[in-house]
Amino acid sequence: MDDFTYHAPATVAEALALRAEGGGAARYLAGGSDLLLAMQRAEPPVARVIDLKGIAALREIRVAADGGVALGAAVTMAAIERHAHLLAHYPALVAAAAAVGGPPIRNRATVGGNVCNASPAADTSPVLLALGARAVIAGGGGERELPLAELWSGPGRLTLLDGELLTAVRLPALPPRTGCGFQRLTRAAMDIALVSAAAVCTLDRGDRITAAACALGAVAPTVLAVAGLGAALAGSRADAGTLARVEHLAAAAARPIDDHRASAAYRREMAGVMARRAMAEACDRARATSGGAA
Amino acid sequence: MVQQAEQQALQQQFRYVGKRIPRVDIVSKLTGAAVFAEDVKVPGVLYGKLLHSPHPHARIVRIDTSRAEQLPGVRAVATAADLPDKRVGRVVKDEHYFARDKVRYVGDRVAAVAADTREIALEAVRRIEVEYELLPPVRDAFEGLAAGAPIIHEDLLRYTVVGPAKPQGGNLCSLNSLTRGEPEAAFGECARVFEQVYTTQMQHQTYLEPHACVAVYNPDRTYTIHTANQGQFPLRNAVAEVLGVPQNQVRVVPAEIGGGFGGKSIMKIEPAAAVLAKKAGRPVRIVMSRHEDFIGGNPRAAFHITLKTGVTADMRMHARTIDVVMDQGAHAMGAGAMAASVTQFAEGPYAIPNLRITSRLVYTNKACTSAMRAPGGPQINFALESETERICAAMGWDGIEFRRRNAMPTDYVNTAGGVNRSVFTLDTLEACLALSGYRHDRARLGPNRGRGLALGNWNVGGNASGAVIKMNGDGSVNVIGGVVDLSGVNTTMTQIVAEALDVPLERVTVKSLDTDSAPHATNSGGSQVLKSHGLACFKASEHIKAQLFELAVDELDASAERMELKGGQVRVQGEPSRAVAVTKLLSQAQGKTGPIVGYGATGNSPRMPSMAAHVADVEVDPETGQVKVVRYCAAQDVGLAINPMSVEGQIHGGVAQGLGQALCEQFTYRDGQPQNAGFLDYKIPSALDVPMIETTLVEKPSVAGPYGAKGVGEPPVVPVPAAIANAIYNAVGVRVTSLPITPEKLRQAIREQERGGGA
Repeated sequence: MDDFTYHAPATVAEALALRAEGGGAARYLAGGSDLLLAMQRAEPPVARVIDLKGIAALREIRVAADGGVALGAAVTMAAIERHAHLLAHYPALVAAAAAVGGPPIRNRATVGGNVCNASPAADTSPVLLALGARAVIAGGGGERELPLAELWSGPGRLTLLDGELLTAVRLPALPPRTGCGFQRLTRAAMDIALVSAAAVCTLDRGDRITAAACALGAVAPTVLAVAGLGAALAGSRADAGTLARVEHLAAAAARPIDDHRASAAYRREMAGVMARRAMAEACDRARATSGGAA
Repeated sequence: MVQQAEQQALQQQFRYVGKRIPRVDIVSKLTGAAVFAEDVKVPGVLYGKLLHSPHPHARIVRIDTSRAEQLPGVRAVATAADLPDKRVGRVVKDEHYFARDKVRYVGDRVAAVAADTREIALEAVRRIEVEYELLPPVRDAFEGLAAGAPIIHEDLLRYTVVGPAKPQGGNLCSLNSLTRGEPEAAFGECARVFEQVYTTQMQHQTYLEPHACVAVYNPDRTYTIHTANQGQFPLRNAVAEVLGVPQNQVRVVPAEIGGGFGGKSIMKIEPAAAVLAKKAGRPVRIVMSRHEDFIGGNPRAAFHITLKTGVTADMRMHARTIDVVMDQGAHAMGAGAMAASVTQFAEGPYAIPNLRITSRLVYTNKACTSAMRAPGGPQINFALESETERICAAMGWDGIEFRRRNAMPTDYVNTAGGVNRSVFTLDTLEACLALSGYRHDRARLGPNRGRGLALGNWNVGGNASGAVIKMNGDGSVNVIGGVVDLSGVNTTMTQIVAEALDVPLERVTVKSLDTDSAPHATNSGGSQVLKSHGLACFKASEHIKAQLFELAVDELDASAERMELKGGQVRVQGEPSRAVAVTKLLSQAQGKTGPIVGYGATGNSPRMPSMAAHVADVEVDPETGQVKVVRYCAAQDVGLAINPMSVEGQIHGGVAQGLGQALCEQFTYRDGQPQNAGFLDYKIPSALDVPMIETTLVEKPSVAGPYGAKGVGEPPVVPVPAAIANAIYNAVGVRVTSLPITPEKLRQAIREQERGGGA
């Protein structure tokens, strides 16, 4: 690692200015658990590190009146794990946050970092994607928002313009009788996901699915939403036949590769299994909720 | 219960031995005061870095170091040109320390630099230009044996052989075979003959501390090397050989060591640091990165085992052949020695009248495999004990009864012709059954849950070792040894000497000293330290006693044979009133014989089995193939546990390491390129993957060790993969015959079973 300067701005505006001044050799640091590793082999070397943890707004978890949530980009996995509203309404996100590394890592690692590292195996990303999260982005031209799916363009690659900063991830409020689930497969307890899946489903009073979504991790260049799943499931009962369809659709949507961690065939099969289990978990939770998310 | 009473009686004989004494090094380790090799402070030290081959197999056309030498802050660059042109090696002398003509694996040492800073050293390494002519790599053992394979060591048959290896030419580094009876004929006398192939993987030792050393070239033209190695003497001898200097001119100082598991029983960076220190005229520190430690390490070899077993109608193994093909890597290193040891313990915990063991060690373009905790043990045992259950399942036999009938008895004449004494196979098996509640007819615990049994052994020998004890004027003692303090060695030696001299623990100090100061010893490894160094310390204590008794002859008016040493006094046995204080004798000694110094030594002693019996409970997720180990029970035949807490710790660690081999660890190559040289993708079990481990110690004194003790470090790693494989079989009815049993592999086997094949 080469020498670099360290900056700790107090506001987003300061952070953007430091980044603009530093150019391509400047990097934002949220938790650093990915960045510090990347800096050891960064080419060109990182010359300026802009630490976002001092920006109070980025460390906030804000719950809106309708129950929706804005997660500041520098919110840690540990903070997500112990947040009462998230535990009650977004338990799949809590499970995904709790799956990241060990406790010391989770005290550093942030949701913004997890999303912006753009790893297809990022633990929180499938849940955020399945929940329909939006990215809040600050840049020279002011603030803009876009669906999370449009943030990623490939492994480690974002659609952000140079110098732009993800400031928050916005979770929409959940309709009544909505549940979410998260499942991941690893080689040992503490491991990068071989396959992960998140599912969200909403039931009507007759236990028929009115809305459903599923997202897969580690089976494509980016975290991947299973296209057409909501339409395919609409009106179905949350039963074994429906779950089998989820499994089939997820396995068909997966575009995994062979590598030393697992074969493509195994990953594809497991994408189906994880998606089915995540959806079963989501349906169970939807049934267990009495009313809305608030 | 009888056994418990026996054990209690055994332990009551002793004051210090058999007790749960906290490790003598515990405070320095826990407070961070312990000095590891990287911590050694030497003024003016430079940063050393090695250049490794990026190619698995290539001819070196040209090495140009000039651009590195010109970089400001670079103090020395070393290559093969700086060392005598001779091959070294412990078994087959097949390796130039720095690659000379060819590189033979990714990680092969090509050059080294010493510089003012780490960054300059890294940049200098990048500036060394090496022109390679690429050669096709030998990717695995069978490719190496095939006709027309690229040859890794063209001069193999002209190499000097110093160990048990028998080079055959081509890539066949060694072919070893051992036979008892007439196995081929005996298969014809069997009710049924079983044949099966088992394969195992390359496993890295994954010690916490990567290799590190500091080398100093002294004004008197000697070298001082501080290092994290498992044996200061074997290392000294190896470094002296590489440098081409007499052994007395290399002083190796053992640092605290952050784990070894056999991986630090080989010289690694020390000669490079020494030659750089001499060239630069300044001390040099080299610390390997984790990546370097993986690619340049000495992992456990992958085995391909073909097992053929003939059984009689009365449940006896009558004939067996075992053919082992070892993927050895680029140099014979320590692996060649396994050619011999494999044949010894391949008989396993059983007595089989007709047996042939054949092993082929094949050169490949991969890291040089060598010793890892019970070298060869868990690989072979995985085959033997998986096969035990496979045979019993096919024959409808009770696996416990089968093991009882075939168990190796004590005083068994082994295949090599030696006598295996103090063998307690059945005691160990029964102790494990009692601990775990294992029953053959109840090994299926429920849906997808199963319980598996495996019985294993490690044959523990003892190597030549000396120990010196100095008795001070106040009766306290300093014990000087040349054995590195790994896995509680110094604590155990403290207990042995305290017991032998009846001196309180706090009046015994044990030190592992440098090679100029300590008597010769071998590696701290192979579970052999108790039987070698432990015995040497015991004998040195006896030597002290003999001198004290001689001094007391006039005072007590009794012959030395009638005396005993108790509570700081020499007494006439049975007459406690006829006593003289040791301090008085020591004072008298100043005017008579001079200082009291004891010396004890042992020579090499034969290997004898220590038994371990394990039972694992697993839960399988049949949809994913994931295995969760929910309970683990281990019984071990330990002779007498000098420190039961240390022994249990060894069992816990051995089981954890075995679970890694069973389920997730695998160092992989593709076309000669390492694929997972780091902890992101080389998965070892974490605390979350390891269940509570229940242990029971079988204490029946051995004839060989001090106080009946046996070596304990290797046996607990041996039966683990087979116990897991057997538990998985009992959970889901599927037998996986290759390690590690990854979720993907198990899922594949389950799918085949679902389709009506397999099992």
